[in-house]
Amino acid sequence: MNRYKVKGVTKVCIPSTDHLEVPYYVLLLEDENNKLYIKKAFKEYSIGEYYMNK
Amino acid sequence: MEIGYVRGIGRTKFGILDENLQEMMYVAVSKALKDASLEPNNIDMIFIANFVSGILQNQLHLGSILNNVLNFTGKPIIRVESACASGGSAFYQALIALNKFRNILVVGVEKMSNIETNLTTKALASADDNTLYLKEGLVFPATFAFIAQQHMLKYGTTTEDLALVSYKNHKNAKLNPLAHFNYKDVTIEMIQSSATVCSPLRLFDCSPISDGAAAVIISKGKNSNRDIAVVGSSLCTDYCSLTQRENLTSFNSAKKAASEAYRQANIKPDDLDLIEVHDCFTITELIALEDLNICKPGESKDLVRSGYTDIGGTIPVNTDGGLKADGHPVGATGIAQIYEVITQLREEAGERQISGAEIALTHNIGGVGGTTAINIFRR
Repeated sequence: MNRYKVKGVTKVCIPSTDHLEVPYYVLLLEDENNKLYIKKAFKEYSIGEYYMNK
Repeated sequence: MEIGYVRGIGRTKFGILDENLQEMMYVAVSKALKDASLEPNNIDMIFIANFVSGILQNQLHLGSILNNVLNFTGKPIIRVESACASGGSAFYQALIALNKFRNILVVGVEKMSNIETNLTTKALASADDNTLYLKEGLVFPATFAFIAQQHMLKYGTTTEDLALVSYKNHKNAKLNPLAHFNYKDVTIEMIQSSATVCSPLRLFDCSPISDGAAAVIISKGKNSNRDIAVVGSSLCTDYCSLTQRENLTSFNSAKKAASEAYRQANIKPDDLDLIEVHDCFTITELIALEDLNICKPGESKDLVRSGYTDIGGTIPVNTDGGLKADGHPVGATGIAQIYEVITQLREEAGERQISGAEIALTHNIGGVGGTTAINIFRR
């Protein structure tokens, strides 16, 4: 299991062709090496919180 | 040193238009030819800037399409695509081509309003690295929402500051009869109570989906007193995705392109009399002020709060209403920015004229700063 720090979070309220169900959240995640990742979620996270990737 | 001269300009109104791609190009190009006192047979080469006509209109091969409505048969016509920087990139390429040709037409065009919004949203996301992020729902406004959020965390910028950018640009658009939102009276309250698109960005933080075309004609030499010199031109590229950047609140491509354009023009940022910047989202206008070295990182909010960027301010920004309120027909946007600064430098901007304007800059970015084209003009 990998652990990432939530560096940014945005609540997306506009649908697009591949993401018709809104709202959803997109997370800007940072790993221990400061590498950044993007992840879609339906749960709201706060900045500074940790996201666990199973 | 002069790289070339802008001899003619023309554009359509921006907004929800009935005209198709070729009809809009016809209008913009015809106006530019008339403005330059030239005929189609005087044009030696043509660049067409466009982003998503292939995806949204199932129409490519725009060179030949343009030839359907204006006879350029036998001339070289090339389409240029660099996402939202397509216009600035085409202009940059045209300046290089002045080494070979005398008169070059650059036309930008986009048709977007006749398509369902969710399809358009997906098409615009093709400016990002969709192999990595489209499946994660990172639509374009979401990317800029991250940038806004990071800027707020780092520098204390607020949603009120973003609203001030939107308000200024809508106010300017009221003075531009060709602007998408020329008809609309917008208040700060309307902006701040508008629907959330991608938090913290609201509807009024986002440029609209617009149709339109704009054209400019450049020449090697000066032909009349209305011609405006191009004295700096640079285009730089960066990683496509936000996650590959070291700095999330600045665009490296813009900083590098601006530095090189200033060097070519032999000017400093405070020599500028007005600028057109790529406010695809309100946060982008603030970042542009910092990347163009008009202020230090984090200080752009102070400029907007003080009226520094208003018409009548020290360096007016987006006098035509910018992408936010003039509109953002993507392929045409970079050319429309040039249309505005040329209009200003010719002192033909009417109610929005910046008195005594002599030097102006255009800042046109593609994607999330993956490409930036900077051009500097002098009367």
